[in-house]
This record gives sequence, structure tokens and C-alpha cells, in this order.
Amino acid sequence: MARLDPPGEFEQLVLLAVLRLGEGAYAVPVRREIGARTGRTPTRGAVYVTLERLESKGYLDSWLGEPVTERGGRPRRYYRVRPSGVRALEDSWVALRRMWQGLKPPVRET
Amino acid sequence: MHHPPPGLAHWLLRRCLPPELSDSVVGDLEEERVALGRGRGWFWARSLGIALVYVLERGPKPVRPRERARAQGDGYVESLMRNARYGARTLLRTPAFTLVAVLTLALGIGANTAIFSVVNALLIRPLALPASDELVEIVGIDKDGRTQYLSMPDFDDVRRQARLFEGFSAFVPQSANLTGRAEPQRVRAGFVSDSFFDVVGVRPAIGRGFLKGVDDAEGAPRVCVLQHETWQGLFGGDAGIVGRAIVLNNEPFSVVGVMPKDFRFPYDEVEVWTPHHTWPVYREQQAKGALAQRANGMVAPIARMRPGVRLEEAKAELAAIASRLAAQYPEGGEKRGLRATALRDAIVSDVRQAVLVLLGAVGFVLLIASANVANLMLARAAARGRELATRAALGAGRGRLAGELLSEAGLVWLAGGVFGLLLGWAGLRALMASSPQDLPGGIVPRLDATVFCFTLAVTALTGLAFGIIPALRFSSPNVAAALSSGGRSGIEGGGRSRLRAALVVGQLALTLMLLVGAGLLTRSFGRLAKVDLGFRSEGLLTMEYRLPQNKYPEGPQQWQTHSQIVERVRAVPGVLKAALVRGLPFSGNGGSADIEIIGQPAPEKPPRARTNTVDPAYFETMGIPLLRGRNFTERDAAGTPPVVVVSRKLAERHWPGADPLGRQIRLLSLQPPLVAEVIGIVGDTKQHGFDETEFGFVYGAQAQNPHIFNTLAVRTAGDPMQLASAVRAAVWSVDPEQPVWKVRTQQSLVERAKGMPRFLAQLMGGYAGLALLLAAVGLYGVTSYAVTQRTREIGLRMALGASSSDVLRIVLRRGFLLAGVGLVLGLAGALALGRVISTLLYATSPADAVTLVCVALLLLAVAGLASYLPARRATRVDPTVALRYD
Repeated sequence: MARLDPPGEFEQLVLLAVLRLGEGAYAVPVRREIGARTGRTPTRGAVYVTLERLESKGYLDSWLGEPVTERGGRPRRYYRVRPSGVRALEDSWVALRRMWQGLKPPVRET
Repeated sequence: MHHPPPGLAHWLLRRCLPPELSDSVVGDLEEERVALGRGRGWFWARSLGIALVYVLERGPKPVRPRERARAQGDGYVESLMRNARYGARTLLRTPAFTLVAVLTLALGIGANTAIFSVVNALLIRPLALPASDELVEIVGIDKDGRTQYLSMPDFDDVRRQARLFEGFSAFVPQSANLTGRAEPQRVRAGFVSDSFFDVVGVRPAIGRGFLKGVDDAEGAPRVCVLQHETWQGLFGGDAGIVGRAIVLNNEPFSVVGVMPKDFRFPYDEVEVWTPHHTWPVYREQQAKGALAQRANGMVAPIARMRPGVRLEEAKAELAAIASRLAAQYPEGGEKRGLRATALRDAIVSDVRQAVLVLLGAVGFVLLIASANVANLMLARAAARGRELATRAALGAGRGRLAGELLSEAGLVWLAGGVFGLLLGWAGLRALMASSPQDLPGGIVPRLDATVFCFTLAVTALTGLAFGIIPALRFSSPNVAAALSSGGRSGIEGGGRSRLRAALVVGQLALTLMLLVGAGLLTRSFGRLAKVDLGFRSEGLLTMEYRLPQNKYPEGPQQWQTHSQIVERVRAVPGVLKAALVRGLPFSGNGGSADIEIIGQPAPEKPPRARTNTVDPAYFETMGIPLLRGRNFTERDAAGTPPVVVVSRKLAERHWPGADPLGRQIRLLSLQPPLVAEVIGIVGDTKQHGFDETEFGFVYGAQAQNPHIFNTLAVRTAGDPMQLASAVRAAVWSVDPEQPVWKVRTQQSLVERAKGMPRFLAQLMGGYAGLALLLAAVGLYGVTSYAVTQRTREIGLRMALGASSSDVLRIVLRRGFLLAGVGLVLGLAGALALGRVISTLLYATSPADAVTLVCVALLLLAVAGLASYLPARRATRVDPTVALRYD
């Protein structure tokens, strides 16, 4: 398998949100989760585009749920992080942690 | 509250998102919308946002390989995007062309946006009252069609008999004295029935409105409702305002309510609402026992029609009631009627015609600008003729070439629209800032959704109509001809130059019509400004006041107070003369009455005269000449035989060739009619406007006809406004509780009356100037292009011996031919449209020969210049170069 693009910062946020939500991860709660935890709610468009990109990069799987009446009979698209996504997240975290070693936040020039 | 998602939004998402995603996105949005309790607008905005992100991210195309494979050829959106990109690149290659085209359109679109904002605010947007289209104003009309107030018994009968109305309310605006505070003050009061707040459909935000059958009953305790601004401004937003007593017209009123902040009744800026029966005139008539008289006009009601009732039906019902009343109670006036006007129309009637004419004018400007851009694009496309022909030969489809040209035009128009919107916003602010008066009814124009849609629509319409011209012309170039002619003439054939010539002729014709409009308005204003007013308006300070009726109930007391006041004012240093007048010229005040000339057979319809009452110093103070007889004196007082002074016009009309002095006039409109002797004749004056010609004046002596309202006219040595506070103090030295208001110079009143005509003439002049510039550029472009096209021919002619002047003549002839055709068409159009503008003109015919000739000469001169510049270039063609010219 070809080496995957490392996920960008926002992509990491989306991946983590999907991971945290577990079974019920679709776009609406993903956006809400990011907003609740980071204090900044992303636009809907950004979430959709990113979910789709992560899927095409091979980090996410998606499938359609059952039609829901409150949604005008439209199904939800659920997402799940694939093992490659988990690995990419871990790689990113390790890389960041290494870069942080010896520094203490907040980082200031002295 | 489950709505299906808006179809258009769904379509947009399907267009811009991958198909397997769009359905779930719509579902997500719908789920959130329902959870948040939002409407369709919310859904729309979010859909648009998401679609935008997708378009920016990856373009509106399917992303998955299997989808791409399924797609049949180019998607619609895809080819649109490709054309747009191509168009943008071509436009950016010629930034000067693009800038000129976009700016031209932006000017036209901006002017339209600004003027339409005003039209929208005045004629389209509902008034800021609930279901305001149900509100009507009702006035009585007498048998001659003159408007009059309804009598109380007539009003009560109309109220009882009308079935198509939900409610009626009296409404009389009049200033009132607010005292019991540090300084006496004038407030604008609205005297209304207890039903008023129900009729307008707005309830007080604090406290209550008027109680049915209680507050408007005679002898009820006096109550009032404050406007929000009055509460804030005069009472500091006092939280305990309800129940507080204020002194209005020298009587205590208790405040029962405060209106909501955004409530504004669009007539006069009423500051405090009180029951109709507290209106001083009502009380006076009541004291005389005259309220039950059918001929005693007391009210011009406003009313609310029942929902769904059309104005025509309501009018028909009122007409039926009026004719019943006239038959039943002829003493109230034979053949009297009722006229209902939609409240909005009643408010905007004065300015409606002017703004519509302006909208027409800016519409012309946009057409001219669009024609200019179309012409530019035609020239550009012609220059690219060989490129287009080559590409067509290589297999580019007709649709594809047309699409490119069209999307190029689309981009230009889109940019023009965006900048036009910005210019329109700025233009609207400039327009309102420079307008000599506010819009009626306190209406404030805004760039709202309607204006935005209008701008979008005119941009799209002109873009389609004009932008399509080059696309149609060049989408099927004659490939063989273009290639075989060696590209020398490009592909510009006779048809195309005729098309461009037609566009220029159209521009010139429209420009001429605008120039005629501007010329007529300017000429009309010039005449207006030179009108002899009959008095000297410079150096006059004026102010108004109204004595409280209950403080000075008797006529002699009133006159005594007035004369004390004017005496004190005369003693103020710097005051040269001071006088009293009931209706100051150009203040909007002034009366009229039916008169009878005693000793002459009475005509069937009594003649009418303007009436005014003045003190003996008035004519001299105003500079109105006494032509014959004598002025009023101190001896013309209450108890002495009534005397009047008439104006020259009235004297000449009613005693032609005879001496009016010593003759008698009966003033029929007074109760009882008054007979007075003519003692003098003074010069004619204008009272309300520059264009009044009818009537003449009958002046009465204030001492003989006392009243509570008066205006001080003070002639001063220096700047009149310098003395304002000293004169006001002189009034207060007589009665410290007497408010005075409208402290202003007579000159400012005259200037105010000139303001609107001047503003209109200037605006029209500006638009016409812009149009002329655009048309000149258009003509220049066409001529210039023709010269370029004919370089070889011109060179050949010169090589064969033609002189420069021959060449000049050839080129100029074409320019003047176009201008001539445009001139004829434009003159015909201007004459046809004369009717539209005639109501805005003073003493000027829409077919005014001087204006038409001057304007035609101006257009010809500009057209000549616009053709001369390229023609001169043609004379400098070097034959040897020209023959080599490709």
C-alpha cells in the first residue's frame, strides 16, 4: 500500500471527532463535537469536504444508515475511522510530541 | 413544522456535491433546521454555503472515477466554469477594455440601484404599520371637487354605515404648547379618536391606549400617549411616566401610555397623542354649540378596510354613503362626496412623479451604458475575428464559441453589477445627503432584498439583451470568407457595422431625450427662480406661536397679547420693523374663502380668494407696496366697521375698470358671513409656491379678526438669525410659558421651496451629462473603428489624389448621419414623453422650442467632436503605409 498523505490539522480534528463519537458519527455531531471541544465550530461545508477527503485518502469508511423521518426520509451517512486513520493519528501525535520535547508551553522567545 | 427542503437548494446541492453525498447532506440540514426551529431561509443560506465550499474546493463536478465515467461528456456546470475561466483570462489580457466596460456598466447599474431604492421605499415597500395596505385616508369633497373636513355628524354616520371598514379614527395633527417645565415648548400633537391605536394596529408598549367610549368622551379626564422619542427626549425615559401629569395647551393631561420604539405614524412627526375632543378647535366649536352642524368640518379620518376588501369597493361604498348623506342633509353641502386614498398614496403623492421620472432617466442611462459595452465587445470580437474563424475551422462548435463570448459578457456584467451595487449604495447615501428635503412620511430608503433583486434583475436583463449581441454575431463566423480574404477585413461585414451603427443611433436618441428632460427642468427652474414674489424675503426673521385657548378664551384678550408681543419685539435692538401675520408666505399656512362682491350679480359659483389677517405693520415690514387707498391703522379695531385690503389681482378681476375702494365684499366661508369694506389695494404676492396664479388676496385686520395662532415677521438690520434668541426672549417677557417655534428666516422658506425643483434639474442634468459622455464615447468608438477598417481604402483614395478635407468629409459625413438619425428619433421620443415630465415643469412647455434647439445643437456639437477626432487621424494616413496595412 502506497504511503498515505499525513493528515493536516483540521483533518486530525475531524478524525478524532469521528473516533470519539464511535457508533453515531455523522456530519452533524462531528461538527458539534469539534465545536464543543475546541471552542470553534467549523463551517458545515468544511466538515463535509474534509470527511469526503479523508475517505478518499483511505482514513475513513462510510455507509448510509436507515431513512429517518425527521430528515424528510433521508438517510444519514455514518463514518468510522479505519486502522490506517488511527495509525496516521498516532504518527502525527508522535511527531508532534517529539518536536515538543524540551519545550514547555506556552512557548515564548526569551 | 416539517417543510420539504426548498427544491432549488436541493438542486444546488445535487449540482455541486458528489451525488452519493448530496442526499445525506440535505438530510443533515433538514434535521438541524427542524431541531433549531428555523425556516426555509436558514436552509437556503446553509445550502449555499456548503455548495460554495465544494465549488471552491474542487469545482462542481463529480469526483469519483466511477461517477466521472458515468457522466456523459461535459456537464453543464463544468462547461460554464470552463467558459468563465476562459472569459476571465481573455478579459484580464485587456485590462483597459475590461475596466472601461465594467465601470460604464457600474455607473449605469449604480444609478439605477440608488434611484430604485427610493422608488422601493416610497412605492413598493409597505409602510411600517401592520397590514398598511388596508389603511386609507378619507377626506370630504364639496360639489366643486375641493377637499374639506367631514363634520362630526357626517363622520358618525359614515362610521356607523360603512360595512367594508374595520374602524375609523379622527386624525388631526396640530402643534400644542407643553409647559410646566424649565422652558415652554411646542410639541406636535395628534388629536385622534379612541379607536386610533386599533385602526393603525399598534398598541402602546408601556401602559395603555385610549379606552373605547371613555377617553374620547366629552368631560372625561384628559389623557395622552407619548411617542417613544418624546418619552426619551423630553422625559428622560422616566420609568414612572405612566400616571404622570403633563401640561398641554395649559391643561393637565395624565400620561397613560408610551408607544413602541419603532412606531411612526407617517404623517407629521407626532410627538404626543391625545383624544380628538381635546383639540382646541373642537372645544371652541363645542362651546359655540356648532359641532352638530353638518357644514362644520372637523375631521379628516383615517380608516382600516376589512382584510381582503379592495380600495375600489371601499370607495364605492363611501360614495354611496356620501350621496345618501347629501340627499338626507343638504345643509351639509349639496353633492358633497367622500374621497378615499390609500394611506401610502396620500403620503407620497407629491414626489411620486418626480421619482418615477428619475427612474426612467437612469433606466435610459443604463440602456446607453449597455449599448456602449455591447459595442465595445462587438469591436473586440471583430478584432478577434480571425482567431474565432480559425478555431471554428478547426472544429470548435458554434455553441462553444457563443458560450465563450456570452460568458465573457456575463463576467463583465456580473462585475458591473457588483460594483454597481457598491456605487448604488454610495450613490443613495449621497442622494439622501444632498436632497433638500427628507422623503415624506419619514420614509428612509435602504438597500434591502427588493433592491438587491432589482439590481440583479436589471443586470441580468441588460446583460442578456446586450451581451448576447456579440455572441450571436460571431458564433457562426463565415469561416471560408475570413480565411480566404487573408484576414484583411477580418470578418466584419456590412451587417455588423450596421448593427453597431444602430446601437449608436439608439444611444444618441436616448441621450437626446435625457438632455431634453434636463434642459426643460433647468429652464423651468430658471424661470421659477426669477419669479417676482411680491415681497422682500431677505433680512426677515420669522417664528410661530399659538396662544392657549383656555388661557386667552376671548378675542380681545388674544389680540391684546399679540400686540403686546409685537410691541416688545419692536423694542429689541437690531429690529427694524416687526409685524404679525396669520399665514406667512411659503410657510404652508394660509386660508381661502368663497367671496361675494356686493353690488354685483352673484355668479352661480362664488369666486374664491386667499385670505390672511395681518397687523398694520405687515405690508411695510414685508415690502409689499400699498398701491391705492390706505393701510390698516390702530383705529381699525374690534367694534369698528370691518375693513379689508385686497391685492391688485383680486381688484382687477372683480372690479375691472372700476374703483374698488369703498366697495364691499362678503366673506361667505365665515360663520356668520362677514361684510367688509375695501380700503386699500396692495401688490400681489405668492403664498404657497412660485407657480400659483389663481385667486387674489383679501387681507383682514387682526384686531378685528383675532385668533390664537400667529406668526411674527421681523425685519432686522443684520443677520436675522442673530436676533432669534432676543426676539424669543421678548415673547417670553409677555408670557414666560408661551412656546415659539419654527424660528427661521423668510429667505430659508423661499429657498426650501426652490430646493426640490433645483435638485431635480441638477440630478437630471447629471444623468444627461453622463449619457452624453457615454454616447460620445460610443460614437467615437464606432467612427474610430470604421476609420481603422477603411485605412486601406482611405490610403488608396489619397494616393489617387483625394485631399485631406475630402477624407475628413467622408468620415464626418458618417458621424453626422448617425447623429442626425439619432436626433430625429430622440426628438420624436422627447415629444412623446413630454406629458410625463409636464407636471414637474413651471411655465415651460414640454415642447419648449429653445430647449429643443439648444439640446439638438449640443448633441450635434458633441457628435461632431466625437467623429472629428478619428476623422483627423484618417487624414494623416500615409498611403504607402496604408496599402501595406494588414
